[in-house]
Amino acid sequence: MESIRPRARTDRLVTRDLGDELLVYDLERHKAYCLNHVAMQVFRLCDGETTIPDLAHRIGDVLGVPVDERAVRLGLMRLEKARLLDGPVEPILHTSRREMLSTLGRAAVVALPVVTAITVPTSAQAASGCLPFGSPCTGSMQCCPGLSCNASIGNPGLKTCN
Amino acid sequence: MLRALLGRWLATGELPSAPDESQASLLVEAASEQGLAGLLRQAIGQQSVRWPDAARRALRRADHEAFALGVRQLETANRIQHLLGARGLRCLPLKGAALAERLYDSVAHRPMADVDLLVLDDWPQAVTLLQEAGFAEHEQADHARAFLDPASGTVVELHQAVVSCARLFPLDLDAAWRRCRPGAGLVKRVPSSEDLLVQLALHASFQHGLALRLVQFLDVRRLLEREPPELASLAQVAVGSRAQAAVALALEAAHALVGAPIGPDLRELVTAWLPGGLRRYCTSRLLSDPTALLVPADPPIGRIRWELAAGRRMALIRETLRSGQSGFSRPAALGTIRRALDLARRWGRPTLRAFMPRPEG
Repeated sequence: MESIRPRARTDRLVTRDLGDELLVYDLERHKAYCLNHVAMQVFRLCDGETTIPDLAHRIGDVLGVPVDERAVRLGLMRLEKARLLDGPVEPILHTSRREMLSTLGRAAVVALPVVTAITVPTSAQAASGCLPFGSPCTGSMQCCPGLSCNASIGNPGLKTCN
Repeated sequence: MLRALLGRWLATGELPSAPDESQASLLVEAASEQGLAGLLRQAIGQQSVRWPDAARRALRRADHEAFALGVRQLETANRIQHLLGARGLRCLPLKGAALAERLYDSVAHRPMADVDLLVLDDWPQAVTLLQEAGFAEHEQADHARAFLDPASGTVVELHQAVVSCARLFPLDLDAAWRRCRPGAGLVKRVPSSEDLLVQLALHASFQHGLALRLVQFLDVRRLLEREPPELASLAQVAVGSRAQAAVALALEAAHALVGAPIGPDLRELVTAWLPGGLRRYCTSRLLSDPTALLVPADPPIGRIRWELAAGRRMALIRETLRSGQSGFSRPAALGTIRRALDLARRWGRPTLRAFMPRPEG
């Protein structure tokens, strides 16, 4: 276990640091994730050279609270599931949030890594405002100025802003 | 009212207060509608203002989604630039895709409905290349065709011109390419500040009759503040493309709505470029209640286009009614009549209203 030195992926990722969380977009899989401040530190410090116990120490130093090795493993497991690590990091001792809470107590929740998938809106409606040219619609009020909701030229069964 | 509050925030930096959940929720909704959710979240964080938790959560979620969608859209733009570039076809991003990475701290702060790319070379070949790459076409207009990216689901608008009636505004695309420069992120090449301002202005003034979202007027302000166009070069591009009136109108609107800075030299150009009809329009509409123009307003597109085309109105009518059928034939005539009726239905009422004098007081 001591010899595991996980490495975070750097290739084909776009990240955005919001201070207390990190957003990551995977250009390969078109998936996006939000890493909380603990998961962000795990991700940042996985340089392929640092062992899990050292990671726990270093993350604890950054956060100003002691961080259990099991929390680091949970973070690695979650990062691996999101495919944000370079290659497999087995054998990480699998642990769950529930196990962590039962063994470390409720106080541990402040140092738990969380990786949340961001739902990427797929339609033009995601940008709010009006629907642009070509977007499926149900009424002309939805469409941008100059456009109205009519049968699609390519597919008369579908109404689009045109 | 809510849009006016948001406009004032952009112009002065004064955040609208959200004393209770319902007011905050309405502001969040309006900010999302106007493309400002990410910027509002950033401003609330920076100014340490107290806002209800539910509103903060809604803004956080909107911000995260806008980031993911924005990166996805720009990655599609990047792929298409490579795809066309590999076959010797040049293309440049328009609007949001051209400026999200250079004028905003994050792509999440400049949400886009779709990705717009202007093809500078062989348009039919560009369309074919996209189709061969699996992009599914699902709509077409005079100046663009919309495709769906099979890899990401992003909507891409492939433009052969910046606006419809493209012949009214003859852009020198080779010169635009010579002036363009490398992008800072996913988009590999972006237009110069001067070209970008002319394109934004044509889109705002001519294509949409100024009925845009607040963030799109903020684009103009950010461009003037962060990458100000060189005025001699701007004049050259605007005059060359006969877009002076459109540029002047868009600048006046951005000034009225979000406080875009118009320095003395630029003001001189705006004054010289704004025709009398549009000056009267600005006085009556822009200066009284500019936020009434914003999406989802029903703009007087007919009137604005009429004023923008002063001196070449026959060309405007000819270009507007072009049906896509060439020559004089029965299908062409029928197409023209159908188009005229359709445009009258869409634009008739707001345009007639705009030509009527406004009641006093």
